[in-house]
Amino acid sequence: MDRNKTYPWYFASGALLLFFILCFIPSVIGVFYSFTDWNSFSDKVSFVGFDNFKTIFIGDKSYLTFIGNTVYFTVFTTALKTILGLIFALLFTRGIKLANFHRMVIFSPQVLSYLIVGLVFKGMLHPSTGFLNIFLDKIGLDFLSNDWLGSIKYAFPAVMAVDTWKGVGYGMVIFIAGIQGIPESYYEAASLDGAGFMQKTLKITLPLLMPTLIMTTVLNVTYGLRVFDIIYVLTNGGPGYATDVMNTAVFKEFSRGNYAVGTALSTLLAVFTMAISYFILKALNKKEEY
Amino acid sequence: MDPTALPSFSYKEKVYGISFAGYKVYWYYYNKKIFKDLGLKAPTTYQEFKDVCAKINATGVTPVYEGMQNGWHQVLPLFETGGNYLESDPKIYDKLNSNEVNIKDVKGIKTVLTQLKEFQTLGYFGKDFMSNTVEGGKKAFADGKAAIVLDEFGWEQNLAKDFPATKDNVGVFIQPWGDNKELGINPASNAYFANAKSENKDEAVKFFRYLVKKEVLQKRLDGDPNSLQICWPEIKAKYPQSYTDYIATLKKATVVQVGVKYIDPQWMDVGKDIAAMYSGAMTPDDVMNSISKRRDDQAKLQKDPNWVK
Repeated sequence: MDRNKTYPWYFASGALLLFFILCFIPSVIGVFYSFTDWNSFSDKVSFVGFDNFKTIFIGDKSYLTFIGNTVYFTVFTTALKTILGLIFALLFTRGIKLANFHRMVIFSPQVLSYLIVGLVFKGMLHPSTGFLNIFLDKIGLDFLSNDWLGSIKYAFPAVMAVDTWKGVGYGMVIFIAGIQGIPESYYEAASLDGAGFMQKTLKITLPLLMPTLIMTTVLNVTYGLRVFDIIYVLTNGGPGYATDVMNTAVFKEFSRGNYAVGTALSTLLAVFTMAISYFILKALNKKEEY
Repeated sequence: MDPTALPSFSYKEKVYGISFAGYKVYWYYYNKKIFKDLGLKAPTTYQEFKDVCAKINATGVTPVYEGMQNGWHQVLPLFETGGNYLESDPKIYDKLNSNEVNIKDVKGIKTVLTQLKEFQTLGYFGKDFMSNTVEGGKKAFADGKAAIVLDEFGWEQNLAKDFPATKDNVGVFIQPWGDNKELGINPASNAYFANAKSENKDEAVKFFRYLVKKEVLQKRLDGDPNSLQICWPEIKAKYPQSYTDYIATLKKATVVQVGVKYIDPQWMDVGKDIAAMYSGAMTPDDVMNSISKRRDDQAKLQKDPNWVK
């Protein structure tokens, strides 16, 4: 790396300052508020110690359910988006016809807003007038029809499927960039040694794609832990509380004026997200030498 | 002004504001033709309601349209039938507000929850009610796919605008949950207040007195096509004579969410509880406990002296 051509530190200072003032300091202040009784009904704010955290972990079992749902959502969508994103990336970098067109099709949901996606899928997944059930009925698979968003059994899988559909393209483009960075000579050498597609993928592509895998996993995990929009639009945490997650709980607490508990939940989420990201980076960080 | 509207802007029985909007009422609209073909009469008790729905259900038509997706509609039977709870104990609202009685001990509310669950189990809300929207009720009614819809004053008139064929085919009856026989009135709406410390408080009072002149009240109602009535009895409502005749036979009572504290702010949460009850994740007792806990939490948060000694 030619150090003479790297940008000096003060080029990033403006962005860092904005981040510090608008994101970091409010987050730290939020941590302090989570130890108070801050609410919309009184100007007075008093220190209450760990009462808010006791409410979350001991006082009301529903908060633990929301935490469980958040982890469940994160694990499944991260796994699906990573695996499917990788499969699509491998497919669309192997000289397939109209590769760019296919990449565009898979990536295009990413540019839609969650509100639009949610409203469209709400209509498509309606049990009697929705496209999916009508299609299944027309091709003789009506026994597969379900009340996708209204059933306690299928609501969460349906929400995760919609979220995966929307987000898989993002991982795919990152993987494509990673794959295209692997020197072709490695694959040629492997071919000369008689290696097949699977061997090349497992012995060359995946190890050299590790930095990219780390990055997409961290991005998907942090997104999954902070999910709100898609759930709010599709089910608002329903049916009942079946698809409620931490951020829908935070939203509810703030709506009720219970700012302290909402902030405590957010603080937990922030700490959890930072811890998980750190461990994922440590666990997956293997340097591959060219 | 209609005396049922006064509590919304009164404190300790002193009136502090003035309002004009008509009270809201949620009652059932039914398809007269379906009822006539099946020889049915508008039900006045829960058992009659069940029997009517059983006969409609047998024809393949959804007896009662329910739209759960909006999150609030399913709560209406629980709190719009407040008059029924007041019949059992005329001071129940005061007792709930003073924390003398816990809401989970109000038997009438549990009865309604149990009846709602029974209706859902019997399939009287149809099979897609968990995914339906309130707005879809008009089309379902007009297409003859649902025989009864719970909605507010003005729904029939809006239905006729969108589906002219439904004109003269709509009847009404009050919600018979828990054998309720009273019309639930929600008088809460926008109100005018004047600042007592203002320099212009006398002018404000003059302005209010102008607004309540009969000709001005009449102009207010005539000028709003979406309003069927205002909360001033001397101004004749625009709704049909059949409504007037029916309402005249009914006792009226303020709905729970206006008369009892810490109910309205948790309306959507109660909606989620009822959805959880329908999906089997909660029982009616769980819902009652949940409502009670949220009331307690809200009261303590606001340092209500009846909760925080």
